Amino acid sequence: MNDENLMLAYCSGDNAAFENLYNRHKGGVYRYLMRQSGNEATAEELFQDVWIKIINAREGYKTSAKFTTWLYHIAHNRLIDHYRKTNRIPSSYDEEPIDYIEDHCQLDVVSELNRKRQAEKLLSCISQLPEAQRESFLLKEESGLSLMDIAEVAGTSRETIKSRLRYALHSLRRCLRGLL
Amino acid sequence: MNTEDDKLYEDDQLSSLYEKIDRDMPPAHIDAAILAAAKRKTSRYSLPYAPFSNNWRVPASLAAVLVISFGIVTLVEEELTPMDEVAPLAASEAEKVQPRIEMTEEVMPRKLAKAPLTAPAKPAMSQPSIQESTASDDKVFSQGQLASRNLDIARTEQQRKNKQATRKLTTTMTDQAPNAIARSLDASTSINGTMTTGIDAETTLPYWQYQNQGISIRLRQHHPDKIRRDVVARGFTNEQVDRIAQSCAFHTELKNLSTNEQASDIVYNIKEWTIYHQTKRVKLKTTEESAALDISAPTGLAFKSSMLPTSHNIKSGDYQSGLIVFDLTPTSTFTLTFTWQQFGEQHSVTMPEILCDE
Repeated sequence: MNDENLMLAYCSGDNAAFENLYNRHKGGVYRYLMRQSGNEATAEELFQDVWIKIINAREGYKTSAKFTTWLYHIAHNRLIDHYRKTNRIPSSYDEEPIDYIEDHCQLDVVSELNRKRQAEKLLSCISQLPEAQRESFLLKEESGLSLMDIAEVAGTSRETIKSRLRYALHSLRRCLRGLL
Repeated sequence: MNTEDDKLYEDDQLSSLYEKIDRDMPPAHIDAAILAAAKRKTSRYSLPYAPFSNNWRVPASLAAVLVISFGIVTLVEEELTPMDEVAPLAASEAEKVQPRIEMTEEVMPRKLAKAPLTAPAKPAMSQPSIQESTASDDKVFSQGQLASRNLDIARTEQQRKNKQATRKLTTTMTDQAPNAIARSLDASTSINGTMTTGIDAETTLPYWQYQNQGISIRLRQHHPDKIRRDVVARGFTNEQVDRIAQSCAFHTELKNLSTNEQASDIVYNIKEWTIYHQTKRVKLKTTEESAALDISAPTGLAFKSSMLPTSHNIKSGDYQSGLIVFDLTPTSTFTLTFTWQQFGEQHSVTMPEILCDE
């Protein structure tokens, strides 16, 4: 059953449907919030708020929008609220990322050990990205949403998301270069 | 749907590497809290006594919450030393222990005046019976200065409600980390615990209890008049006394029921427990946070020592207990998710729809 039907089933009182839905998406949403907020306690707080909002909004749920898009849109908005509350709305959400010349350095096919080191390094590199670019990358990786959907989640244009994503990928590759 | 254009912005190598990063997941107690909240919304959980299911209680509760508008959880002691053994606080000290009201967007907390309560540190002891606990309550009552008419009225009301509670509501709750426990216990035993709620025979106030093979968790409400009696002579202003007395207090008791053959310590940390009130998460205030308040030394020390420890290791056959005061309006309901470790696993159980009686 797809997400939208599960949500409709939950709206009809099927708790198992919600549990199924929750288990599908809890990891992605949690990691998105964790890596965007950079703080476990904050992520937990925001994570719960997101799902409580989903639960409370069930009566008005319509399948006109993709569930995942709706879910991550709520998560994005909650994150922005958190930034506002802490008086640190990242400027990267307002700025157009500086474009760049494509860097085609390739990651080597490496040993598992080296691969693990690269993964750890990648996490560090992700944390160094400007919030808006990091969000685009995380949404792409965690939610599997299309660029159009990510733009909807983030409340911006598809072109902006393309630009943010392009810049994020470039920065990550550049950041990982030392491990090659 | 991803378009061809989207593929230009995919990086298989980075995606593959990203998947190697630890797949962090939310903690089990958060899972439990959210799933309980979801379930609550689709089912009408009713308590066994009829008065609380009356429709007028809902708007009344909402109105009361709007008036109070603050919610914070704090812990205070379970057993209160007779007042004649406690030096009353000077007025200036009383003001110190009354922190300024603070409010956040998240939980709108109000910090309570911290009752500078005294009780002997509870020594490790064998598991007491409930009767022993309530007997202690009665002792305090006999020493209280406000053995008030209100208490009699309240008890009469509770007895009336009690008559209506002709049966206990029993539901089966699933332990959140059952597999390993099931393996470690007798294979024929159920991994499910039992949730029971009803009216405590001694206090005539509601109780909630969860029990499985390894643990028993019991909450029973502490009567507001009893709290009032115990703090009124300790230097608090009338307003502070009223505020504390109007809080919802619950005696919490954790017992380690594991047997010698399968003995396993219970390890808990109240920082991991979660409370939901009207879909908002409320944080528990720890002993350390409370003790950090500027309470005069004798009462402050007693206050700290008498509170439910923030974390504790409960041996097989032993127990730990303490009073938890939720600064919620009477008639409020809340959901409390306990987490603990036992048998080498993390466990979580949610007590839904706990009602703070009037």
